[in-house]
Amino acid sequence: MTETLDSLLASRESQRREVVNVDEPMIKLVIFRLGERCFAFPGEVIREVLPGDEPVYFVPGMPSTIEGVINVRGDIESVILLQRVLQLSAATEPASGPRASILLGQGQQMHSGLRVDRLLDVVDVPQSLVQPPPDSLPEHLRECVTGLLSYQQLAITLLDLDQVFAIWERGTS
Amino acid sequence: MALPLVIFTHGPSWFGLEARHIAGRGHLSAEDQDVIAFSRLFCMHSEPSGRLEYLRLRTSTAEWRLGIQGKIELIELNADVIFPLPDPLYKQRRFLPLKALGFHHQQQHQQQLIALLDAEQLTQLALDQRQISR
Repeated sequence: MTETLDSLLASRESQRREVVNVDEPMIKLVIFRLGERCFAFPGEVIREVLPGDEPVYFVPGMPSTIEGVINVRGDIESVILLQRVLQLSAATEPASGPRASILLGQGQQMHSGLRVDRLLDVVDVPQSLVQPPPDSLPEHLRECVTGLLSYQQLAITLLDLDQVFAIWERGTS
Repeated sequence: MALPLVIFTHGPSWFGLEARHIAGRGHLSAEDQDVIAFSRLFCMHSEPSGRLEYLRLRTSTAEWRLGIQGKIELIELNADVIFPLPDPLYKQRRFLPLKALGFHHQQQHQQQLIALLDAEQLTQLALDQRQISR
């Protein structure tokens, strides 16, 4: 069968159109460690990651979940001890030093720094990797955990920042 | 623009009051009774007895003496190192007179946080606890 150039080009074009966009929806995650466990916030709620050795100033008369305040280019931000809010352990001293980090979280109602033990990665992962939270989740974590995923052989717990802030507000009032 | 402040220590922390509310300062004698220790207002307990100084506070509702067991200094803070309390801290503060934060340069370029107090609220707290009368 003799093909013409036009028919060949038309065939190519139809094949190209048949290519289905199989790009999976991706989600950006800020992954960090708190004690022995790994957590992540969606990237869109983390404005900035600050080094953990930023000076944090103690503010008297605050609940124990507050580490203090930091000066971020002339703006004062509170620093919340995330480990205490999530009741992960009875850590007495907040992590600090070059491996620790402060995440600047921007929720719908409030913003604050969040102390974490170590920033692990900021990555884009396919949304399909996120599994629903298991029923076995501890009671106090149920309302702020939105999913679980495995990343580089680590079990990551995905957190909702607004719910974390809500738990913090409730816990301190 | 600078704000004159009387600052004082309580434990490891520094607190500050606008100097315009401070009508005087003096040393206390053992016989002085009409003095409210800052510790009583801040953490609801009395400090161990020791040498105390007082600040005489004059506000719109009362004039009274605040007992201080620590250092007292008169300083000025520039407006650019005074900040309102961040919203989360304002909502969750345990000590209602806490109103703002200041940063005071001390030796060796170290900054010290000053917890700035509302003198009217501090007076109200003393009134609420029936520690002073109007």
